[in-house]
Amino acid sequence: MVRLSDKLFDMPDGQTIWFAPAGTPVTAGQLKSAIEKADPSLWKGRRVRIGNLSPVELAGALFFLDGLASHICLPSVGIDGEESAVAHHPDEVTMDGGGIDLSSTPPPFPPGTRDENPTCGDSRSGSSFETSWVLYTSGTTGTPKEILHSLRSLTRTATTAKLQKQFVWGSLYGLRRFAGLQVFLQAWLAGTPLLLASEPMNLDLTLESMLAVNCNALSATPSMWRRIVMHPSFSKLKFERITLGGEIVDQQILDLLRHQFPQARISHIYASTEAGVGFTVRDGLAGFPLDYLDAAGGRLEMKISEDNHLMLRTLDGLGDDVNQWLDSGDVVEVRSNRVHFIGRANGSINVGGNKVMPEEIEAILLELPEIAMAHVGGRKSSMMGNLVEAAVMPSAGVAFDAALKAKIVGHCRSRLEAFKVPVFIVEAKEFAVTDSGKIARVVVQ
Amino acid sequence: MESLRERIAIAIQQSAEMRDAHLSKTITDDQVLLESGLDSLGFAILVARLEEELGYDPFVLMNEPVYPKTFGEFVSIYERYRPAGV
Repeated sequence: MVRLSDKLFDMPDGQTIWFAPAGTPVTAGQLKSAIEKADPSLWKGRRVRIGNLSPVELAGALFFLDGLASHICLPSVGIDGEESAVAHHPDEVTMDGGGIDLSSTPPPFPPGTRDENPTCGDSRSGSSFETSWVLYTSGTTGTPKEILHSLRSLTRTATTAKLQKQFVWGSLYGLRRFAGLQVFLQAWLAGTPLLLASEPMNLDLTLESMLAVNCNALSATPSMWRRIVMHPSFSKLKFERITLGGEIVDQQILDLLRHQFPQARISHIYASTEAGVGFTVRDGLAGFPLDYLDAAGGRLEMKISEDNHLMLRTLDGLGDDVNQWLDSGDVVEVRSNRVHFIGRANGSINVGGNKVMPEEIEAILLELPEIAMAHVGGRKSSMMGNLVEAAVMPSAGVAFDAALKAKIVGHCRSRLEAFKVPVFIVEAKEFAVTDSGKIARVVVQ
Repeated sequence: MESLRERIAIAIQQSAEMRDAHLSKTITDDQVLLESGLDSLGFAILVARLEEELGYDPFVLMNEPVYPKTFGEFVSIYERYRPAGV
């Protein structure tokens, strides 16, 4: 069985493995010592929920817990640093600050979580759990849905090439997010130091640290790349490896990065959180070549369904049935021998890499007595992919005016994260409904 | 009629209000956009509002993509891609 920490104990103590968000190096020796000091009996065989840990502690905790805990649960944190509302599992224990410490004097463990009946030996090295990694994704109702992964499934698309120590990867996403975790694991497998992201992300600090540690490789969403491009520090950055993913990649941002970094290898990645699979495109063009459908590389197979959904299958199976195709929920279209992504089939809106479910916002809008019906969709944005637009039908006798719009914005702001608050509010005279009586959702880009 | 620059300055104020950010009353050409109080979401809102008001989005029209860092650069991009009659 392969464990995340397998390679660690063969590494020289002085080797830098990560940089803290402020740029302080963390060495293999520090991580080894933190793992050796931590008490495995508290966590062995347990379902461990990652609580309030700093980025470095969280990274250390993943190394400590993989192969020790039965599950590592990573509730996501929103852009404002709030933990999402994931219900606590009855058997789980939470690892908070001090769970694994990388300072010289670790604080004591949180009390009262010791397992009375450990299921196997009492040292970490004797354990043999294949730890399940639990990530959360929004379901169609906006309620977080548990997605089970293994180290194997999370690293299935990672390149196994030893990526040389001349690279220093940066990251803009915390380790509770699929994107952040993938960069983290990829950097580790490639033997490349990683600058860990601050939570919540602070771009000024991140770019300053990137310059300080000579970060030359970064993975980010197209929206985040646009934001970096506009930053005064942009011209000082020297990227040699650039990756884009997490939302639809447009030609414009690919061209812009190519222009600024002519020597860099620029890749865009398609990944499905649900399936834990993906592939990479490196020809500098948006979408992907049609012939990838026959040979995406690795163990992934793809096809386009009759209703233009991208369907996925891996040779080792995504579900119980090895032959089963999984609907990615992504709507595609083929133009000049390339497959282009159009949007999500369930109407979910991608605002700068953040997934927004229209139903969640509609429910908030309908809390206002002034609103009789509401329909939320995306409006295309050259900056963020999409912005949220709400079409509302006022209740009888209520005027659609500036006061109503202000009330809607105020109400949404008090209840929703910033990127979910409708930017555009328009009046709808009527609503299209489907045969099943639901509001018809249109695919947005 | 207000100049393009004035219309953009008004739209910046409105977008900032939308994001609950407070900007200084006068914006100079060398004001760095990301330091003006507008974050990337606020900036996206600004560009979308201007498209609604002016009828074009220069960031869609441009062949050679350029992203402005300062208010002056931002205005000049809108001037450069301004269709006749706007």
